[in-house]
Amino acid sequence: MVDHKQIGLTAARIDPDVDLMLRVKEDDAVAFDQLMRAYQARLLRVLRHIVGSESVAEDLVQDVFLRVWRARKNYQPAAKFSTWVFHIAHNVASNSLRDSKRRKEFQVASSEAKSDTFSLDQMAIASTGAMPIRKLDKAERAEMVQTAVQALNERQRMALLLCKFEGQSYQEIADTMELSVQAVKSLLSRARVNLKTLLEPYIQSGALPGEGVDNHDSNETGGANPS
Amino acid sequence: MKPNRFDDETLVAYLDGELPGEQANLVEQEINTNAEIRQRVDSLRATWELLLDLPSDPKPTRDLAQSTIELITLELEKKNTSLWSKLRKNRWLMLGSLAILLLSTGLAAGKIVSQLSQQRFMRNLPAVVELTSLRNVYSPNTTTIAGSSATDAEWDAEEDIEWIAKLSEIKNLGNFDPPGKQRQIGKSFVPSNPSDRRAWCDSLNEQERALLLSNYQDFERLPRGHQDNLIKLTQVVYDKSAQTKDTLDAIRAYSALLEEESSRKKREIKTMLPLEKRAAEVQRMVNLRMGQRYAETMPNEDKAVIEKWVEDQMYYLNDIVELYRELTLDSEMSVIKRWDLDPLIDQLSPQAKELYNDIDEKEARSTIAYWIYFVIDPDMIGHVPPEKLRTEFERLSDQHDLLELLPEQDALNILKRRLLGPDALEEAASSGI
Repeated sequence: MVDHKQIGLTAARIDPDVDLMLRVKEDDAVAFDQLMRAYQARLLRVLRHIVGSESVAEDLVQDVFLRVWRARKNYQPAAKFSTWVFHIAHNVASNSLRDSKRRKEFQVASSEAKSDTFSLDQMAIASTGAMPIRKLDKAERAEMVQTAVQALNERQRMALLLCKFEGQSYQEIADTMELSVQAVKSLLSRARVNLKTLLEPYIQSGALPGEGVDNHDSNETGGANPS
Repeated sequence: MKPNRFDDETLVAYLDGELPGEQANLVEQEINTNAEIRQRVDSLRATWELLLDLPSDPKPTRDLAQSTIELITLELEKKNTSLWSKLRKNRWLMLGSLAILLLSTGLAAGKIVSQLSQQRFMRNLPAVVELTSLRNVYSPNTTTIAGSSATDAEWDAEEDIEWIAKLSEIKNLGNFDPPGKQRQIGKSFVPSNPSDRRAWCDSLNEQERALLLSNYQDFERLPRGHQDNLIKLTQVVYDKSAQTKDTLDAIRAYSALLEEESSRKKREIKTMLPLEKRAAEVQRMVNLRMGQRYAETMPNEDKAVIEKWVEDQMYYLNDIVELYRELTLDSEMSVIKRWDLDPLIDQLSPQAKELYNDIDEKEARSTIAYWIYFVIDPDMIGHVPPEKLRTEFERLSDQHDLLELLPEQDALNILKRRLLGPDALEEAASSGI
């Protein structure tokens, strides 16, 4: 049987970022600065897709760094540094989403991320083949994919982003999100199938979706967010 | 039709390379033989590839690492209130002093706060060193600053960056050494490699270190937005690598040039648009000062030419004061016309000629007057031939007794003032003669 703990320790031993973090543990501010500079764009890339807002994501990245600093004395290298830091990022993002949901200040699919051109409603309708299609330019395509990603629930989104952008293995995602590997497998599968449902018309034809959807019922978004 | 042996989870895991070898082989076989499975896998893969369209290289709108360090510094400072309480009112003075202290003594004390402040200090060192010069290049919309938070001041970075490039093109600006003390720190520019910066700081003398500390305090007092903008400008200069020294020389000279101007004039130049107009104005100022500075280093050949020309003018003018006055008037108003000056200019050295030709005509005339100041024996200014003094003395027969009672110099001055007018002696006195 595979010993995951041993794999994590081995990964930590060969990870140069772990060495930096061990220096941070000894109050080395220069090492801390190096780590922050190495991870700020990576964290921002994932977090902005989680919270759907550039400015909130920046605040969260800063929050992650602060937590890393505060937690430095208790740091134990049990896995790659990225696994640990994204675990913190996941917690920070979850807290933020929960708080903002309570305050109802912004939605998961926030107004910043929401497109005037593509709404989830349009995409859901397009996926039924009930509306005309047109060719998309690159910016529109990016917007469409972003809207589709925002439609996933937070856990699916986090698993997907860690897998796609961070190249994390299922085991690493499981460690990051404190889930079983089987749960990660299930999350990623549902995320991919949901995305496929939303984006299939484009995949098949290279175009999606059309204009003039005002008359369609816009309450059919649940299918994109099944969990 | 074959029964569906593989669910989505398995196919997704296969695509992610997470299936054990044996199971992955089975899926692969199925893909090769089962069109429906192949289509499902292709569709899932295509979905995955669409994610590449997501913007993947975000650029934070601020330096998150640096702002985090500042937050931590503040946090640590709060914890150490007993240590800092005495200097609470001047936090950055303390941090700056500590950084300098650590730099100069190499003390390993101070731990985290000192490390953070020192690191910040080192990172921003080029901007701190060039603060005085850069402040004159940096031109945010000052009307916005006055009304609200300075961090909200509008700043056209492109305009300032373009201005830096233009400064390097201004003739003689980089070589221009204006009179007065330049607040320059260090003989070389700050090394780009942060690890070499400590040694650079160690090489500074006491006075330069004091200036550096003073700049650091000024820098830290600036609103955060201004600091960031100045850092960006420094980065532009340092990114020029091969031209960095020339660009810095130009920026420093420009700053020194502006510092000699009144606040109003300085502001007028800093905000003058378009940039071509600003460059022309700075070029005019440089040309004038270069012309004036030439007087101090003028070769004897040029001095001889000027002396001869002055002597020739004395056939038509009463004395050198009159010559000086005529040169301060416009050509149209003066008895000394352009054609009177042409023979002088023709005989001067090519360097003097070039400097003269670069200067505007009116200023060129006063530059000639300035050169004359340096060349002609200063005692000659205010000089009145003795026979004229005697005639005037004779004319004042009713005051002979009084004049003879006065000290000789005072009596002569009274006579001179009557002949030359009250300003002549004062001008001579104010010019240090």
